[in-house]
Amino acid sequence: MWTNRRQGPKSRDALVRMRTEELEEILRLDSYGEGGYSTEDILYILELLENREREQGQPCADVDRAWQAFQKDYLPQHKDKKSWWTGLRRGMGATAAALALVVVGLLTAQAAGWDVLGSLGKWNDEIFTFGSLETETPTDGGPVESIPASQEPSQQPEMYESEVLEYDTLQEALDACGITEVKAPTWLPEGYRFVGAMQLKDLNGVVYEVVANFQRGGELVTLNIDKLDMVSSDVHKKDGPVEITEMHGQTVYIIQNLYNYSVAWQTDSYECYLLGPNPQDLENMAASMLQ
Amino acid sequence: MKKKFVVLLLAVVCLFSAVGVRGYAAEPRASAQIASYGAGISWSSDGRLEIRFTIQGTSANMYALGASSVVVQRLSGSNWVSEYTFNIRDYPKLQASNTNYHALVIGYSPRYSGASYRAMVFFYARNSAGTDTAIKTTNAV
Repeated sequence: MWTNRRQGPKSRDALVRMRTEELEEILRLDSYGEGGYSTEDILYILELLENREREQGQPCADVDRAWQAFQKDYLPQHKDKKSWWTGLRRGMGATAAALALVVVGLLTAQAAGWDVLGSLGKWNDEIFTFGSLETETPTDGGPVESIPASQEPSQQPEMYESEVLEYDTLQEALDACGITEVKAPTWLPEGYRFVGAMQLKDLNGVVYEVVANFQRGGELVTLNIDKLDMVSSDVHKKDGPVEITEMHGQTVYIIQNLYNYSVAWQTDSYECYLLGPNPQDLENMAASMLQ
Repeated sequence: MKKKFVVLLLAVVCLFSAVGVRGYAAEPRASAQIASYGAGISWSSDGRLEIRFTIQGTSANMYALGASSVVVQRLSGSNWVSEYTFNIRDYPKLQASNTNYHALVIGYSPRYSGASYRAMVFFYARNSAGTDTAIKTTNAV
């Protein structure tokens, strides 16, 4: 057993000469507000340990190890208020480090080709999207030459609009379109009823978008179901944060526009958006679709 | 004392600089007409470009909803050149009225099948509260 507390704080030179286990014991005691070391000394000890780890060839970015160390050394357990606060301050630094490791891990996974971030909603002051947040300007991807567009296409283009789905219920319509990953809402706000749905097919005849309307008088709730990678959608929003919640294991985003709200989530194959005037109604509808 | 004054002055300058930047920043794009909009492009199996766009209005009966134009662009060297423009005058299907939703799929035969293409969609929406526009550029294919 080491006797750091009885002997008082060591000098920097003495710390350098101490064994790793002794330094770790100082950290452990410090998390209980004991030992009498200053913040600078603690940071110095952490630096020493980090250097020793590096010299021994141990991985520096080991999330599990960092988390275990955080739980072991920094989780505030002491009842004394001052000690708890001291531990908390240390804990905040460790938490920041752990978060940084997680972010680095995510970015590494993304760089390695795993679409970790692709399934996450992103937003700025203006829009929410599951796609890219990069501001789209005419010069994206290189300069645009001011050559006038040709007057006639080489072949007459074809244009296809959405088609009405003639079904009594949205679930029947989704079944007919082969959409099994998204269920129709089993809960509707009082007075609302399903009034119709439309589908859009690509040139190969595959349905990639279904839009359904639910109406109560002049109020409308719209559900958009878009196949991933077919249309990259942006949702207009008010300045401010997007609310994030979880429903039945699914991350759901609540976005506020000027006069309406959108509730959005992404499945393996589809982006889903509910649009309407009341966010709680939209959340309830989403929950009924995700259960 | 002099040092404190300099620090205070710098703090005030920084504060007003931040306010100034905020003041000149673009206004947030919350919209009374457009709820959401999206666009995409891909090659179809028959060698055509398939350009898709969709727009959701904020009210049930928009006076006009869709795109004012869709520009097909081709990558030429390091420049994007506009190869063809679909505009509302020649292609009225770009917009719809009395609806809260409009979407369109365009099959376009490009001049150069081996080139990279993208599309820029200029969205347009009008209702009783006014008009709004948005621009979306697809990925390149």
